[in-house]
Amino acid sequence: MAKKNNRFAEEIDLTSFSWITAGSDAQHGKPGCGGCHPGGGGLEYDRDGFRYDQQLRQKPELAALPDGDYYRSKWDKTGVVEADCLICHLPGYFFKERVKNLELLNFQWAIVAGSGVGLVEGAVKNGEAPRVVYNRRFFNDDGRIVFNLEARPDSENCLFCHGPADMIKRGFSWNDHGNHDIHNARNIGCTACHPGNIEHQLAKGRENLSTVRDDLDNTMRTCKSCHEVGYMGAPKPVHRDVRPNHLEKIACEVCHIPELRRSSASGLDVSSGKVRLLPRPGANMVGDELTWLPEIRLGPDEKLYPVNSFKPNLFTNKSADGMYVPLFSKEIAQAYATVGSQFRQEGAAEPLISSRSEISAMLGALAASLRNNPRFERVFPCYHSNGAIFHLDGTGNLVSETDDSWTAEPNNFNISHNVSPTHMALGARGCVDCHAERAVIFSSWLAERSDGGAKASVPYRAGDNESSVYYLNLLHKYNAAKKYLIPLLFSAVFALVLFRESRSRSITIARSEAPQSGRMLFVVGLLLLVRNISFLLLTCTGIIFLFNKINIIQIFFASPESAAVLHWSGGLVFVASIAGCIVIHRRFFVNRKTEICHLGITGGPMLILTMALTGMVMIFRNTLAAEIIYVCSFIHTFAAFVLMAVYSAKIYHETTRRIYHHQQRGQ
Amino acid sequence: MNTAAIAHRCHAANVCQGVFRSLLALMVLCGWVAATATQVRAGSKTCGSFYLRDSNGDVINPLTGENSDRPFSTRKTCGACHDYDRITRGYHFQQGWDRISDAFNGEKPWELSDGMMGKH
Repeated sequence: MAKKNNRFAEEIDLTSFSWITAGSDAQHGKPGCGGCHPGGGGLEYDRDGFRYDQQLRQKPELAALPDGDYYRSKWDKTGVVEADCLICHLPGYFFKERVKNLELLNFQWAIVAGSGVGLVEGAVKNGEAPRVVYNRRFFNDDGRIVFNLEARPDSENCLFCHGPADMIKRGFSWNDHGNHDIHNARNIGCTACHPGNIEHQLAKGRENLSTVRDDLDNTMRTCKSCHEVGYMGAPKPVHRDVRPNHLEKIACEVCHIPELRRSSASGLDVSSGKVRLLPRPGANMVGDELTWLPEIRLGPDEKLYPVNSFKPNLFTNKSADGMYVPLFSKEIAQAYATVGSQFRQEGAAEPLISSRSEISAMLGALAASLRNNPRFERVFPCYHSNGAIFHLDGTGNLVSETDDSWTAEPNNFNISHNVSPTHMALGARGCVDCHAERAVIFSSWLAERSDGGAKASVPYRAGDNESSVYYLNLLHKYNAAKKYLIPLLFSAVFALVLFRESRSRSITIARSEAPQSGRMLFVVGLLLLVRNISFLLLTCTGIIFLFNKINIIQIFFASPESAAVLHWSGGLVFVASIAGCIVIHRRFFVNRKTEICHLGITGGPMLILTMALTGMVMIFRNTLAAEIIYVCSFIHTFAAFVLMAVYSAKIYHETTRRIYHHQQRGQ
Repeated sequence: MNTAAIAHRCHAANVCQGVFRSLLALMVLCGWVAATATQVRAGSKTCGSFYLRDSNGDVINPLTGENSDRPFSTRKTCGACHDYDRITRGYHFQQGWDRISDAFNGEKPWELSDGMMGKH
């Protein structure tokens, strides 16, 4: 949209007047910008707060000035577009009639046509003064009208605008058996999650690209706000087979919207001066039936979210100070008119110009057409496509560079609708839904585009190769071996320690060493008891964590969070009891050969120190990078199993030795 | 008939009478609710019936021909009962127009607001 104050007409792309009909195609029911704008605001008042029609009637000269609100406008004849309450509140609203009348410049009359209470005859666009013929059937005898209004808008009304727009951005559809949504199937409407208040501020989520009223972000009902408390009978998920840390790092949508079944737009092409949406590969147009997997990207809260990664192809002019200024559609169309016949459309999902010769021809045409454009002091047209900038050098040769301009910033539209039923979510069939070489979430970087299968043909499901997701998966791939490797490790250490113990003498505490410190011996005994109890607690909770037995956690500890707190609290008590033993040893049994504080194993202090350090790091897991948590967790687990194996071997050896001695004494 | 039997019969009669009265009261209540509901449906479940008004606030009455060729205005029609100005401050109506400025974004001077009106 043009600025309010412009130096000359060339600086004006769309005024607030032409914005209303921009992009409209009433023949096919496609609304322009003003079709979906419900009226009021900028469709009623100019940027100085004057009502357009009244202001232009008083100052008709405004239409000739380069004013972003009035240039070449006909507000005095079209009237303004007042807020159309009925778009949302009248079930069965005739949205196409509204679009048609806006395109005919019957701004003031569009609401009558949309409501269906009357016919509009004539069009301002044709120089006529429209008149209304009301349908008397809707009126009572006293002349009052009866509208069957809904205080809470029907979802169908929301879809007039959010249907086509979100199909483009996200492959979203509603009331669509081919692209179903479990909430839709349960007859839950839009306003259940997006309620409004008296000021008509509708509760919203957090959209990456739409920035209007970001202060109202996250005011809507989230997955948690319904499913944690069972609002409206929402089932409370248990996630028994999902590791708790996954729920911390992965948004619900990743698993519960594993795929979409209508093609979104993967980008747009403006090479002809008109916006052409590029469907996803495999579809002929946006909205076609096509199963595709959303890309996964890190959100601002460091959680993974599914997105539609949208890549526009744009034309800009690089100014002398290095700013890439987007070209107006009319400027591109002017150049296209001179060279467009050279271009051939390759495929629906491909941009119109893609070869180097085509790009050169278009940039050359732009350079010629922009030469006399007073908008630019320096003519330097650029084409931005797929992470590269193309421009012509001084000799007319095409040069390409990596695009680091604003046009290369990621355009990731959040995907949050078309939620699958639980049995279709990722993870419903176990970890292998994601953690396997041919699983959907990580298949793409392994198979890339060469696999040929429908799912594997979708690239970069897990993000780019530099992401932590990629790195973690390299380790996670071997998770399936866990159930074999851990018993193997345990058995090996157990056998080695048992072998070593069988060849050594038993350790006994000399009774004569503590005649003056009998009271302290009692304290030591107490500390050892605490140590052993906490060790038992750590062992039990640790094993439950390792094998992800969420149902056991819930039975004994209420939630994974409380179990984790108990685990690291037990760890602190364990370390403290050992530290207490050491202090007592140094203070009361100094210079005495004593084994009272001995951990019972060689290398025990090192193992416990390792576990204590990694464990303490993981207490602050919420503030750490995924890689650090994973490495610490790996070391912690490894040390824990070695320690358990050692203790088990020693206990086993000690028990059998005592039984043996007892039997010998009996004989 | 002994005193206890008489007392028992009287008690049973009182209970029957009470039940009958309760049922009667319930029927009256249901009838009133039904009648009220019918009245509401004669208008509409949200706003009842009302006059359409043009942009000058004048009544449009197609049955008498009064201003019957003029489009109705929501500002005057809906605004007769609802706070139109307050409602249209909602972001669906403003779409950034309440923040639009020629100097909105110095780095991208073509962006004039954070909403659909001005951002693109």
